[in-house]
This record gives sequence, structure tokens and C-alpha cells, in this order.
Amino acid sequence: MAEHKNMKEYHGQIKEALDDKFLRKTLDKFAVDYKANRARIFQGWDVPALVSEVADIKDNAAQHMMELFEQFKAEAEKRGVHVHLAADGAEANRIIAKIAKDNDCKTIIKSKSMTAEEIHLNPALEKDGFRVVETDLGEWIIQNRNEGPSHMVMPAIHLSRYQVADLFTEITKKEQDREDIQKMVKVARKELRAEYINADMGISGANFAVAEAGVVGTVTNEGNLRLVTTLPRVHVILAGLEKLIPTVADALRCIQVLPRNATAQAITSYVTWIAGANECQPGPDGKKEMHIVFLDNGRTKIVQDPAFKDILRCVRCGACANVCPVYRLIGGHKMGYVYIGAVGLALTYLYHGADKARSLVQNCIGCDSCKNVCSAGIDLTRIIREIRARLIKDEGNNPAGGVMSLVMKDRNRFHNLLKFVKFSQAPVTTKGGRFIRHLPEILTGGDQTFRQLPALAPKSFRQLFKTVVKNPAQPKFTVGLFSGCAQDFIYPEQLVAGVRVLNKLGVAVEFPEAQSCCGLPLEMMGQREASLEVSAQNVQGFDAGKYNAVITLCASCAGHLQHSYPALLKGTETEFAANVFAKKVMNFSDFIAKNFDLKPEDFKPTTDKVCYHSPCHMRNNGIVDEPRELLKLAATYTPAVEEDTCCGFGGTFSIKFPELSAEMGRKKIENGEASGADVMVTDCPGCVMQLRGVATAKDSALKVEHMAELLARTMK
Amino acid sequence: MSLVEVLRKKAPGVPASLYEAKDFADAMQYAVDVTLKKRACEMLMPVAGEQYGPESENGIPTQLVRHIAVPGFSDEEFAALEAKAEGTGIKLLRSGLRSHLGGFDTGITKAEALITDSVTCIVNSNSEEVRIGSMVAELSIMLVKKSTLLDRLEDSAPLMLDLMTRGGASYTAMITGPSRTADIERVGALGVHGPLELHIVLLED
Repeated sequence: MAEHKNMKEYHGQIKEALDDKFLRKTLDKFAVDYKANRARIFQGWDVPALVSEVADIKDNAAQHMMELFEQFKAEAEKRGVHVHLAADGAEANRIIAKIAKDNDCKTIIKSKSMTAEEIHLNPALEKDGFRVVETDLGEWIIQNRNEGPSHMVMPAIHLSRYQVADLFTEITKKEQDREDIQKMVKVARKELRAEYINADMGISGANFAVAEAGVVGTVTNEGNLRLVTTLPRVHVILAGLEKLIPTVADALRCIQVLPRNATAQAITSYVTWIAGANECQPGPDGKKEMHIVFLDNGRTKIVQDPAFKDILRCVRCGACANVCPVYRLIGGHKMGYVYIGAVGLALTYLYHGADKARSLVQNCIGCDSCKNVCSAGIDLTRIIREIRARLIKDEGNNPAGGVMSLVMKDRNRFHNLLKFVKFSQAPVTTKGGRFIRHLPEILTGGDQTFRQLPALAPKSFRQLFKTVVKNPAQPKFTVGLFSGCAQDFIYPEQLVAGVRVLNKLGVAVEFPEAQSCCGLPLEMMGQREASLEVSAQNVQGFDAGKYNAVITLCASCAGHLQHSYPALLKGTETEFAANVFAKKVMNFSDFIAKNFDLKPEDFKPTTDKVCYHSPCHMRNNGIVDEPRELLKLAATYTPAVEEDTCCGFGGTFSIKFPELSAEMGRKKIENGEASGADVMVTDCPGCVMQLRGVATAKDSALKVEHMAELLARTMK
Repeated sequence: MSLVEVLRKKAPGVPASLYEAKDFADAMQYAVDVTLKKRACEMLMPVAGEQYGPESENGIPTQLVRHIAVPGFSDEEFAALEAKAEGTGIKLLRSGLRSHLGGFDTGITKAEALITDSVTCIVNSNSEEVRIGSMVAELSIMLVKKSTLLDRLEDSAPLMLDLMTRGGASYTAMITGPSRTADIERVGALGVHGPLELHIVLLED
């Protein structure tokens, strides 16, 4: 539960997490295991189709939220249930406390509910004098340690067996085995049995509230929910309004993805469906006193907000944390308030407010891994960027963002500034002028010594283009080249190589001069107004319709142009052109792999051993194998472990969170070195900047180069 | 692959033991056999002054008498089990399971259907005795009729809806394997609150 007054305090908390050796080891292993296990359990499934079905089911449900509520209420009341609707957390807590009081309850047992965590139900009930006992093993552990969950599915993943054993020794006043996890689990079995028996009231959560049958479905493994909902005489279910869903068939479809995505299980041990006040021997008339409390807490407002409504699709599988490179480094306590991971950043803002979320929402590297893994296809990266933009709109701009917007909106001003920097950077360059010296922290905002940052190139690509392009007389394809800032001004040699390769393959290349920054860095900083302006400039500057493709050698630009422009420019006068433009955009490697049937004999023999770094914005947009096919042709491909993880660049992220960026970058270079490769090849100048910067700073022998450079070197 | 073959292939991974019984009496013999073979049931709610057996591997006192709970059995079914249990010392419980919440050895539950793709038993648990019988037992036996095997989760939708809406309140369980957790260091452990083992006994109709 990360609570901090400002960014400085937050950096302090991040350092604590980075220094926690157990946490680091656990989350590293989890990140690797999860990916493999998920792939295995989804074997034979058309995952995108399933995800899109779940998205449709949940969208439809959210759209009809209040109708479903009324239908559910009528069905549940027929079955003897009292149905409540709470406007916010405080009201829900009051309703539940009143139910407990009215029914003369003293002890309350609970099964897992993130919604209960959201509204801080336990402390509220305890303040009213009730004894509350969590029964999910992980929740019971953290409750006894006075902590919040660090993962939505595995709340105690941050703890070692030794910490648990010590806690159990304290609880049982009996020395417990410090190694044997099986025995520890039996301690919980024994200790909690009496709690179930003695409790007056049980509280459980909901995965689905099915309107057609007034039934609540829950997905669990431990079975504690079955005891919580059976033994006590009073039962309260707490459910967010977004859990309403029309039919049982809809819910079953969602269950095909939820456990697979959460814990790589085909289904959990128990899926329990409760409709109405069931038989309960100690209850009034042998029946349960049964209540369902639905929680709004902003949900009915979120449905109305096109920028945020997709968040209500979330089925709480936790996968967005499992694949997040930031979560992997710092864990859930530092990457969320109550809800954690990518969806946690968004939900903190939406359910707990700007104060709790201001620093947290900055801690997204924008790699799209979460969007790519989400059970319901939520574009979490976009939503997090949207929140940054809202914060700026509501609270005013920060100085850095304001200056950046002002400069970027005007292409000429931006380019003049770069020229000025180029001439004045000479005194601070090093290593043959290609890198700048380490700058004092006061200028960079944090310790950047983990990598050597590049200097601006003596000539930009736009100055070089005419001298290097040799378009064929009868081209097979004609493409427009989108350069992006990093390659235009820092690494023009990558574009020069790219143009040579394309020309050699019979492709005519044009470079529309009116293009500017793609706008992603502005979006990352919440500079929506300037972002919209550059986006429109680019769309208008490219007459995309006349090209076979718009090619870019920058994975991040490509991702942004393809996947963000249509949404950003929706409803503006460039909407139509933006859609045409976005459909034409292709990554350089992808374009070559898909359009040319290259053979080994098209390449010179080489002894180069290469590994690959898969840029997040390519991989998470479905381009995985194509670059590797090229690598196998162009050199000897010796894959490194974890080629499919983030390099830690993330543009402004690496300036805001250098401590995290450094860890990710170092790990990548170490993996590259261990692979035995001479060169790490990638498809994005941002990744090159980070990886080459880290390799140079640690004097690594591993070279880093762009795919275009490799192909230009090796193609006959 | 027939549904039975799918079940045979998938059950061990759940984990669930699978026994294909010749008839109901054979199924009851199986229940008695596995009950006699297992280690004596732990007593999770020991009462001061009562007599217990030696401590289990978890340091918990064990019970001196073995129990099989069979809520929801007809008189005829109960008689078949009684015949097999005779002389074994096993005590049979047909109801009143709330007095046995400290634990009993075996619970036999009649499943409505089984989804073979995920080895999931569908159990009408409207009766609280059935819920306790299938949760408090250390070893849970699910009786499944061959004719009720389903292929995939989605195929259960009509049956599920029917079970939920037959009138009045309903409690419908989908059960796949024993009670499990991985909450400590992501290490898998069975029997955190409920059964330590799940046995599926397949019956001809």
C-alpha cells in the first residue's frame, strides 16, 4: 500500500523494495514462470478471440449496469435476499456494520474480496467493535501483519516462508517449522477451523453477479469461501456494480479466461454459485440471513466516461502485474494503493482519488505488456496516459511539461532548438563525440550514471536523406519513411542503413519533410494538447494513401502511430486521414520479412553471433517471429534468455525513475552477454539508446545495433 | 477420444483419483477401502478430557474412530454402504454434520455432472449437510454417473441455470480437485481448509 506525500518520498519507498533481496528473487522467478505457464494453459486456444468475447460481454454488461442491477435485485429478492446499493465505501461500510449490529453479530469471518479492501471494510468494522478474521491463507497472513495485499491473487507473495513461520509461531504460541510450507498450511487449517465455527457472520466477495438468476459466482481455490458462506448464520456479499453480468453463459465464458490468465489453471478448485437465502441450521427458520451490498463508488460515473469505461471490464485476474517490468522490480506494495499493478494505478485514481494516484501513475513505463495480456483487452497503458493528461488538465501543467509542449508543437522551433543543442554540446561530449559526459544529477533529475547517453549527430537524417536515397526506376513498392526524433537527430545512420536496404530490395523511399515527433513522449508526460497537434501535423504531412506502406524503424513510433492515432484523433477533422495513415504504418523488419522471400544466399557469409532484444511496442502488438527470421538469415542467431522483456527505456520514464530503468537495462545486457552473442540486435532507437548506453557505461564487449544496420552490413 | 478417456487422461493432473466402479456396491467398497487405508483423521477441534490417538504429521491429535459422511443418500444407498462398512469399525454419518466440524475421514457426494475437459464436478449443494460433507471431510469422494459426463465448461450452462433456478434459494458448486493454495512462496499445497484428496468414482447408470 504505497502512500507518499510526494515523488521524493515515493523514490525512497522504491529503494526499499529494490533492496529487498527476497522480493526481487521471488518476483524474477514469478515473471519467468508465469509467462511459460500461461502459454502452456492457453495452448490450442484462440486467445485474442476469447479476450475480445470477454470484452464484449463486459462492455455490454457495463452499458446496462443499472438495468442489470434491477433485474438482479428482483431475482435475488424472490429468493429471500436483501439487496442494498451503496453510493460509496463509507455507506457500504455503514450498511454492513448495521447488518451485523441488527443481527447481534460479534465475530465476522471473511473470504477474499478486493472490493472490501477498496473500501477499507475491516478497519471500519473493527472500529465498530466487531472482530474480523480473514480466512484466505494469504489474506489471513497479511491481516495478522497489518499489511495490505501485494498482489490481487496472491496477496502475500512478498513474504518468505520464514516470515510466515515466525508469524505462525507468534499466533499459535508454539514453535513452528521454518522450512516446511506444507506444515504451515496445516497450521492455518487448524487455527481457522474454530474461527469458522464461532463466527456469527460471513462476508464474501463476488466475481459475477448474474442478473438472470440473482446468483453470485465466486472463483476460489482454497474453499474457505464455502465454509464462510455455509457455517455462520448471517451472510453478506459485497460486489462492485461492474460484477453484474446478464447470463450464466456469459459468466462461464469469462471463467475460461480468468483462472487461465490469473494462475494458469484451466479452472480453480471451487467455483461457487449462491442464489438466495440458503439452508442454514442456526439461522432464523433454518435459513440464512442474507444480504448483498452493491458498491458504486464512482462506477456509474466511469461508465459515462469514454476514456475510462473500459476499466470496468477488469475481471481481477492480476495478470497485468504478472507481466509488468515495474511490478517485477518493486512488487505490489510500491505499485499501487489498494489495487496493484497496471489496473491498480488506474483504479487508485478512479476509486481513491488524485492525491493517492499522482506519483503512482507516473510509474508506468508504457511497454503495453499489460494491454497485451489483459483478460478483457483493456488498453491499460492508454488509460494511464489519459490519467496523466487529466491530472494536468485539472491541476495545471508542470514546468518541464509546459516547456516541452511549447517546443514540440512547433516543428521549426523544435528543430532550431536541436541545432542549438548540437553546437553547444561539444564541450560535454566524450568517446569520439558520440556520447555525452555524465551530467550532474541536478540537471537530469536523478542518477543517470547507469548508462552513457548519446550526443546529437553532426547531421540529422533530414539533412542526409537526399544524398543517400537511390530509388529504383521501377520500384516494387513505394513507401513513406517516418523517421521519429531519435533516429532523425541522434542515430541517422540507422535510417541511412534502412534506406540502403530498402533501395537494394527495389523499394522506393520518400521522406515527407513536414513530419514531426510522433507525440508519444508528450503523451507519456500527459501533454495532451501538444500531442494532438503533432499527431494531426504528421497525418496531414503524410499523404499516406499514396504509399504502399509508411515505414518506421522505431518500434515505439510505430506502436503509437498505429494504435493511438485513431483513438486520439477521433472526432477531429483528421479522423479519416488518421485511420488511413495508421493502417499503412509498418515496422521496418516486419515489412521486409512479410514482403520479401529472402534466402540465406541473399546474405554474405558471416561469423557474427547475434541475440535479439524484442522491443515492447513490437512484441506487444503481435510482431514476435518476423525479426528473428531475418536474424537467422543475416547471422548466427544465439537467443538470449528473456529477449521478450523491457529494456527499461520508456522515454521520459528512464529520467523519472532511473533506479528502475537501470535495473532493467543491466539485466538485459547481462542476459545478452551470457548468450555468447557479439551483438544484440533490436528494432527501436529508444532501445538502442538504453542498451548501448548501459553496455558502454559498464564497458561491456556486447555491441548493440539496429536491425537495419545488421542487414545493410550483411545483405549482398 | 471418448469423454471417459478424456477423464482418465486428465484426472491425475488435477489431482483426482479415478475409480471406475462395477456397480454401486463396488463403489461403496471402494469408499470403505480408501477410508481404512488413509491416516486417521485429524481432530481440528479437540475437546479437553476426550481421548485421541497419536498426533499426525502436523502435530494434531487424531481421531480414534473413522467416519464416512453420506448426507443425501437414500435408504437403499445407505444400506449398500452399511453392508460394506460392517465389521470395519467405520461409523457412518447421515446427518448432524455440524457436530463433526472438527473433521471426519470421508465424505461421499453425489455429483449432478462432470465436465471432463477440466475434471470439474457439478454438485447441487442446496443442503448444508452436503456442503459440510464435501468440505470438512479429509477425503472427498464424488459419485458421478457416466451418462452425466459433459465435454466443456460451456456445455454446463443449461444444467447450471436449471440448478440455480429450480425455485427458492440454491447453492451450486463446481469442484475441481481438493482444496488448494499457493499463498506461501507460490508453493502448491493441498487441504488448506477443505479436502486433502478428491476421488472420482464413475458409475454405470
